[in-house]
Amino acid sequence: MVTAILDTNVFIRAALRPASPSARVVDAYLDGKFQLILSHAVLEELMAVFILPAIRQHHGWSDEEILDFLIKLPVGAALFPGRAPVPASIPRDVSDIKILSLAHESEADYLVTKDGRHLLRLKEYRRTRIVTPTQFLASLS
Amino acid sequence: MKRLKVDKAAPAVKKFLQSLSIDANGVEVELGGQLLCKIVPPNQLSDVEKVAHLADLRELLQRSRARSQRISPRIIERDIRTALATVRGKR
Repeated sequence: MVTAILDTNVFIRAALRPASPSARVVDAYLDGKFQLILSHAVLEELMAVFILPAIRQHHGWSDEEILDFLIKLPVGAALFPGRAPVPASIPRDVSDIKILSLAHESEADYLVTKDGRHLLRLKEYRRTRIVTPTQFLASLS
Repeated sequence: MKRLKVDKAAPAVKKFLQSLSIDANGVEVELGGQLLCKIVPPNQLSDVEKVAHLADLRELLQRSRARSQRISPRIIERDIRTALATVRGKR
């Protein structure tokens, strides 16, 4: 089965943009079309974004529902520590390290992101292809 | 299976529990030489429990999407970008 890491920006859009490719990517995960790869660092960042007032006003979830989402999200996923070192020679944003570490450890097939400034420019990292949600959906079909 | 909600537990308790879930084999908790319980990670849930969890995730997403559909995509995108920048320490 295809394995994929989803960047935080994909999860957030999946929750707030019903017609977006990101929403279809997360729906594909829930339908068992690929195996999601996660780390606690990714879940922590997701929680940090979900609890911000500006985001909370859009999703409308209570604290308990946010936790419920984060606890249940890994149900069909593989969890990795996400601590592999990322060489300084790789051009990236500091906040990308956790997701590149996860790609290294998991050897995921895809890293799906909307980050056009850093991650998408890499195109690939070790064995992982870095793609947009639209490109990932095309690869699944 | 009985569910314990730890939302209001002390931060140290939450951190401890979060640190346990990474172990794919689960964790046995022992106190005074006696086995108290075994904590099983989500990927060892039964098929019925997995289906229930996935249904809950879908329901949460549906509700969030229905609510945010009333708001301009431009505003949502702006708030997403600002939120990510805030969390990633760029603001």
